[in-house]
Formats: sequence, C-alpha cells, structure tokens
Amino acid sequence: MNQAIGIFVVGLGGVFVGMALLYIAIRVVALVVERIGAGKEA
Amino acid sequence: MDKFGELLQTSGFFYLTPGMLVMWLIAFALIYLAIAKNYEPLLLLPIGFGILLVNLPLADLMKPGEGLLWRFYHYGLQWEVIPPLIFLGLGALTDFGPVLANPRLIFLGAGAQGGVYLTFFVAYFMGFDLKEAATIGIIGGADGPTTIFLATKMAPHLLGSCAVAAYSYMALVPIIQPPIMRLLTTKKERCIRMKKGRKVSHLEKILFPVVAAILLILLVPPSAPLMAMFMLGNLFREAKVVERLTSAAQNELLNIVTIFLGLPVGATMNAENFLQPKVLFIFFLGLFAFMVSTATGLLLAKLMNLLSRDKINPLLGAAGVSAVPMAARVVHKVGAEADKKNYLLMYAMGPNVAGVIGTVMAAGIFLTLLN
Repeated sequence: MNQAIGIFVVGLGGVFVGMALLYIAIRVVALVVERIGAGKEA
Repeated sequence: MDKFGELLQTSGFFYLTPGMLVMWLIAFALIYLAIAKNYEPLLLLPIGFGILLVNLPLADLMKPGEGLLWRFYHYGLQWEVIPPLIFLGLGALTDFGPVLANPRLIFLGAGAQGGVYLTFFVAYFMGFDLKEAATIGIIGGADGPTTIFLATKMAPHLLGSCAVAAYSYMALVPIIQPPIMRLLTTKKERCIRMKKGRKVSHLEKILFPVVAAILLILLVPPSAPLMAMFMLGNLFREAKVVERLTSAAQNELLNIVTIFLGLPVGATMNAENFLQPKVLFIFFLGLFAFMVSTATGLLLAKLMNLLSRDKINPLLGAAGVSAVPMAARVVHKVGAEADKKNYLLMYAMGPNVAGVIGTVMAAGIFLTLLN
C-alpha cells in the first residue's frame, strides 16, 4: 500500500514538474525570440 | 462417411468452444459499432476482426513464432515499433500554437492525469498488482497508443481489454464528459470568455518540439520512444522544409501502422484471456478513470481561477484528457450551449495537446517506478 501511495504522489507530482518545466521553457523561448526580433529591427 | 467424419474432426468446427462463440459476439459488436455508429472505426474495426480471427480454432494466427498475427504483435508491439510510429504521425498532425499562445493552459494537461493516478490507486486497492493497476489507470489519459505501449510492457495479458476500453471510451467522450462538465461548473463559469492569446512566431513553433524533447526525455527517460517520435513529427510539420515527410507521417505511415496496431491488439483477446471477471472491472475502472480525469481537469481550472486575475473558462480543464480533438470539440459544444458566441475550440486545443504530453509522461513515470 505504501508503494502505491508513493507512486500516486510521485507520479502526479512528476507530471506537474514536467509541465512546469515546459511552461518555463515556453516563456524563456518566447522571450529570447522576442529579443532576437527586436535586435534585428534595431 | 468415416472420411467425412475425419475431415470434420480436423476442421476448426470440431474445436469451437462456447467461450469462442461469446468472443465472436464481442467481435461482431465492435465491428457493428465501428461501421454503423462510426465509433473509433479506424481502430475498433481491425480490433474486432482481430478478435474474430484469434477465436477461430486451429488457425493458430497467434501461435508464438509462427502465427501471422503473432508476428505483427511481436515485431510491432513487443518491439515497441508501432506506438512510436503512431506518435510520429500524431506529432505531424499536432499544432502546438494554442499551447504556446496560452502557456498556462499546459497545466490543465497535467490536472487531467489525476484520473490516471487515482484509478491506479483504486485498481491496486481492488486487488490488481501494481503493474496491472498502472495499465488500467493509464486508460484515463484517453490516449490509445500510450495505453497499448504501457500495457505491452507492464501487463500484456490486459492489453486487449485495456485497448478496447480506451478506444471505446474515447468514442464515448461526447456522452461521458458533458454531464460531469455541467455538474462541476456554473453557467456563469461556462460563459467565461478567454482572453486572446499572444501571437506565436514561426521560430517558437520550430524550437518547441526540440526543447520539449530534450527536457521531457531527460526528466522521464522511459517516455523517450513516444516523446521523441511525437516531437520529431511536430518538427517535420513546423520546419516546413520536409513536406513529403510530413505528409507521409500524417497519412500513409499513420494509416499503415494503424492497421498493424488494431489487428494484433484484437488478436490478444482470446476467450481464455478475455472472459474473466476482472475484465469487467477493467471496463468499470476505465470509465471511472475517464470521469475522474475530466473532473480533475475541471477542478484544476477552477483552482487556477482562484489564484489568477485572468480567468480561464473551467470547461477547458476537461480537454486535458488527450482524446484529440474530440475532447476539445466537446468543450466547445458545452461552452456554446451556455453562450453561443463563446468560441472555445482553439483554446481547448491547448490543454488537449498538453494532455497527450501529460499522458506520455504519466506512462513514463509508471515505467520508471515499476520496472
């Protein structure tokens, strides 16, 4: 039972960690691309 | 007359069992649902026919090392070839634009995995072992190829029943989800209009599959076969320089591997394996997983609304199950019932494709923790 509880918590938490990483990556990439665009215009 | 008797004894008719006849009925039911009701016909039709074939005695189509369907099963599924190829095609068909335009919607794809893990827990409590429980739980992700991928590795004896449950419930998304959506949201919430997302550049769309593949495969290495092919397919699409490859992945390849996916999955369902009380539990738990996934997605969207000024229409949470694009269409339809000028489809595609990523991650985490 303890193993099942552990998998439940770690598993669901792991999916959220993965999504948080993706969220940060999307934000960072957007920022970098925006800066590159601004640099080209300048 | 004796010769005729001998011939009869060497024919399959002599070896038919009542269990096989019951499986024929199940096969006919799936073929009927696929043809007459258009319920996931691309998969349920070959699965139904595969069930019929494997329950013809003496045909030995699933005989290890010899049977034709066994070869499809062994080299296609056990060798992990077909589900990743399906994901290559899905990636080539997926537009991550809605996620990139509204990145916070990505969390709804994680919220909907609540059903996967809760069902895993309930299945374990009901007496399934941990690997079986994980295979049953993943049905809640509403992602057929991922269910098949995980079942092949964790509980091959449950492959057929879990795959049929997953595809059946995916076909029933328009029936299963709306009552839960109405129950857990007020009309005012269903009327919330989404703020228009930012414009996404072409460069961002190219970078996303590369960055996502690196991050997610590093985080959950066992998800690599599916994640890698999904992101490669998407890179084909967004690069716009390999139109032929994109088209092949979206059409010919996807169609061919779909045939070789459905047949062997159906062929795992012989009477001996399938006609057991626990299969009924699997179908019950699969439905439970779908319903809970829908509910947890909705509830996460409501929780995000408590913490944020820009409100999200909580219906979008229900699109976090990865039945693409059916779940997004259902969200749009239920939203339009409350406010017919509220156009939610594009926004719902965000959590919908995030749900695919979430389910693959959930499967990878099960593999990490249980293998």
